[in-house]
Amino acid sequence: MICSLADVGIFPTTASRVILIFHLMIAVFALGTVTHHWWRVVRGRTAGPLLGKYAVWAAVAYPLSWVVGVIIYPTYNVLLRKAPNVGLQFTSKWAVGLFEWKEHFGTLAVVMLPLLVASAFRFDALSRAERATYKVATWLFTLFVYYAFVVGGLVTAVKSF
Amino acid sequence: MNNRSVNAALLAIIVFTATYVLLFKFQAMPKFYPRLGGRITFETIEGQTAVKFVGASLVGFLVAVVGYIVGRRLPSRSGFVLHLLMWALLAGFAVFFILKEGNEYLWPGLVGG
Repeated sequence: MICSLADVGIFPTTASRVILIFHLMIAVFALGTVTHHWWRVVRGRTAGPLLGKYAVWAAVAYPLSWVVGVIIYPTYNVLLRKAPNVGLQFTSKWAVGLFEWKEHFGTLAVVMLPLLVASAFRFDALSRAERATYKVATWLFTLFVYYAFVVGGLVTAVKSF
Repeated sequence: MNNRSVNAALLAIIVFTATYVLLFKFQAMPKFYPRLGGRITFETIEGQTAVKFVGASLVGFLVAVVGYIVGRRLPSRSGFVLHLLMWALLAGFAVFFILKEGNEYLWPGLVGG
């Protein structure tokens, strides 16, 4: 079947680039909030309202970045990944695998946010087990977000050069 | 273990991971097909262009919200079980997708170029 692509979900190349840059900018913002939150947990600076505030900023920035990523996802999926002969699936299959992991673990990270926010605001009232869960979840969440950022950049670089 | 919000968030993660993995396992998620038409042309098979992870995420988020609401009503002593379940399911989630995508794309891509 010979098909042409555009209308819904598939943006023209220029629009895709603009949205991709927007995605990158929000991702940098998200990375900043996530790193601040993680650093407070690592240093044990859990007293006061700042821990909760950083968790909330992460809960705003990261899902926003995820949503913008979802908006350009069909464009990536059809034009970059599955385009016959020149798509990533044919030229750099390993990059598709890394990107698939980014999708799954990046989505899981979104769902971990309520736990982080609830735990950050009530850290003093948490039991030992809850604190341990919160700390490990913070490490995992931060790892997922960094992984998503690095792999997003890597796939963009693979398709750019 | 007496924090209702934490218990609710734990249950939300539990039901999300279980739903998301099952949807991918049985390919039962709602699939979005970007509409075709416009300037760029190439041969494509409709099934290949399905955006599956978005459908699975939406269903997963919906179930997670329900899980969160239910989780707030759970007795506080259920916290220990929720912690165990969450870590078990997160481990299962990681193993399932690392193997699935690794076997499908990553390892063949690294070996075959």
